[in-house]
Amino acid sequence: MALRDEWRRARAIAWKDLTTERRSKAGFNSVVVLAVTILVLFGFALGPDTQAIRNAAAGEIWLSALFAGVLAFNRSFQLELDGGALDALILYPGARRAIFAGKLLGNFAFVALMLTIVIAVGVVLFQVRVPAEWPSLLAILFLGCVGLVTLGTFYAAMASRSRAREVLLPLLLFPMLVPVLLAAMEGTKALLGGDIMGDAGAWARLLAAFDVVFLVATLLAFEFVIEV
Amino acid sequence: MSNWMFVGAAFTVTWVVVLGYLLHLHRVMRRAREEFERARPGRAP
Amino acid sequence: MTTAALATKVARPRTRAWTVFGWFAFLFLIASQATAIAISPPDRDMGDLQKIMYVHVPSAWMTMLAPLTVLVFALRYLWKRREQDDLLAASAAEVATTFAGLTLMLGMIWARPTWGVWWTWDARLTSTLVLFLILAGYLALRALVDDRERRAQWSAAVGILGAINVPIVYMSVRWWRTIHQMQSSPATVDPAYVLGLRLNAFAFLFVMVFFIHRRYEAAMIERAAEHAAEAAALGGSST
Repeated sequence: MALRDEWRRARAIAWKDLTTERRSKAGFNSVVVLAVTILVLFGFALGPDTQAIRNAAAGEIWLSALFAGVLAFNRSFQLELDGGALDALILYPGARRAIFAGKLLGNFAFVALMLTIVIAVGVVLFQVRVPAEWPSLLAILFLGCVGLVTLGTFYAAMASRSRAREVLLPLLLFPMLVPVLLAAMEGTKALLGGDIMGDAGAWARLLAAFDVVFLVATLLAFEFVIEV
Repeated sequence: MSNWMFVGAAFTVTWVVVLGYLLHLHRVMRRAREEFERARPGRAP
Repeated sequence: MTTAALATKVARPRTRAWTVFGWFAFLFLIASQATAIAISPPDRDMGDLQKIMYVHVPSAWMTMLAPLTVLVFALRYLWKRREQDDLLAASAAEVATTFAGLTLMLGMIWARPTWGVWWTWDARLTSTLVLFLILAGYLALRALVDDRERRAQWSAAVGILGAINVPIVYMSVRWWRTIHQMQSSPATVDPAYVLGLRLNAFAFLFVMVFFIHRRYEAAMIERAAEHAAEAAALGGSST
C-alpha cells in the first residue's frame, strides 16, 4: 500500500538524519548550549529582580528554543545540500511527501529533546515551581513543538537553498509562527502560574487546531517547494 | 496638540505614501523601458 | 507568453484606458475625502479625530484585500503555471505592503491623541504589523531568489501560507488580549459617517487596482527586457 511505503521512507529519512546527527554530536550539543546561553541572556535582560524573570519564564523558554531551533532547521537540509543528494532523493516515486515527513520527524525529535533540556534549565534558573499539572504542561510543549517544527522545516526547505539563508529563515518563519508561539507561551504561562483562570485548556485546543492547519497546508505546499 | 493637527497629519501621510508609490511606479516603469530598449538594438542588424 | 507577443504588447503605446482610470481614481479620491470632511459632524467622543477614519479604515480594508489578491493569483499560478499570474501576485504583494505600512502609520496617528501612546497592542494594529512582516518576508524572498521558476513557485507557496495565516494571527492576538481583559478599540460606525466611509473605501479600491495594474505592467516590461536580452545573447553568437 502506497501510504505504508511513504511511511517507511519517511522513517528511513528521519532515521538517517538522526544517526548522522548522533555521530556528529557537535551539532545537537552546540544548539543546546546556545539555547542555554540565550536563557542566561534573558536573565540579564529582565533581572536581577527574580520576580520579573519568573513571570517571563514561559516566554523566555519558548524564545530560547526558537532562536536555537532555527539553526537546526536549516541544518536539516544542509546535509543533503552539501552532498547534492536532494536531487536524487526527489527522483524516487512518491518521495516528496515522505521527504517532508521524514525531515519533520527528525527535526521534531531534535527540537523536542532540546526543549526538554531548556525547560529543565529554565525551571532552575528562573526559580519556577513545577506545577502539579505537569502532564498538561508536557502536552502544551508537545503541541507547540509540533507547530514550531512544521513551519520551521517547511521554510527551511526554501531558505537553506537560497542566498542569505541565515536571515531568510527567521525573516519568513518568525511572523508566521506568531499564532503558534502565542498559544504555546500563553498556555505554558497559565500552567506555570497554576492555571487559576483555566485558560490553558483553551490555548491547548487552539494550538492543536493551528497544528492541524499548518501540517496540512505545508504537506500540500511542500510538493511545489521541493520540485524546483 | 490640537486634534486637527493629527487629522492633518493623517491626510498628509496618506498622500505622501500614495504619491510616493506613484513615483516609485514611475521609476520602475522607466527603468524597465530603458532595459527593454537596451536589449532590443542587439537584435537589429 | 512568447517573446514576440510580449514585445508587441510592450511596444504599443500605454493603453489609454488605464491611464484615464488612474486619473479618475485620484480625482475620485480627492473628491471623496473633501466630501467626507465637509459633510460629517464631529463625533461625540472623538471629536474631529473621527475624520481620520476616512483614510485609516479604507487603508485597513485594502490591507486585507490585497493579500487575498496575492492568494488568488498564487493559487492560479500553481494551477496554470503562467508567468503572468506570478507577476500579478508579486505586484499585489508590493501594493499590499505599501497599504499595510500606511495603515500602521495611520493607526499610530489615531492612537496618540486617543490613548496617549503611539502604539497599543490592539488586535487589529498588531495583526496588521504581523501581516506587514509576512509581506516583507515575501518581498525579501523574491529579491533573494534569482531562478525564475523557483522564485515563482516559492513565492506562490509562501504567499498562500501567508494569506491563510492572516485571519489566524488576528484571531490569536484577539484571544490573547481577551484573556488578559484588554479593551478592544471602538468598532461601531455611526450611520452619519457611512456615506463618507463608503465613498472613500471605493476611492481607495480604485487607487489600489490602478497601482497593482501599473506595477504588473512594469513587471511585464522587465520580463520582456529579459527575454529580449536572452534572445540577443543567443542571436548575437551566431553571426
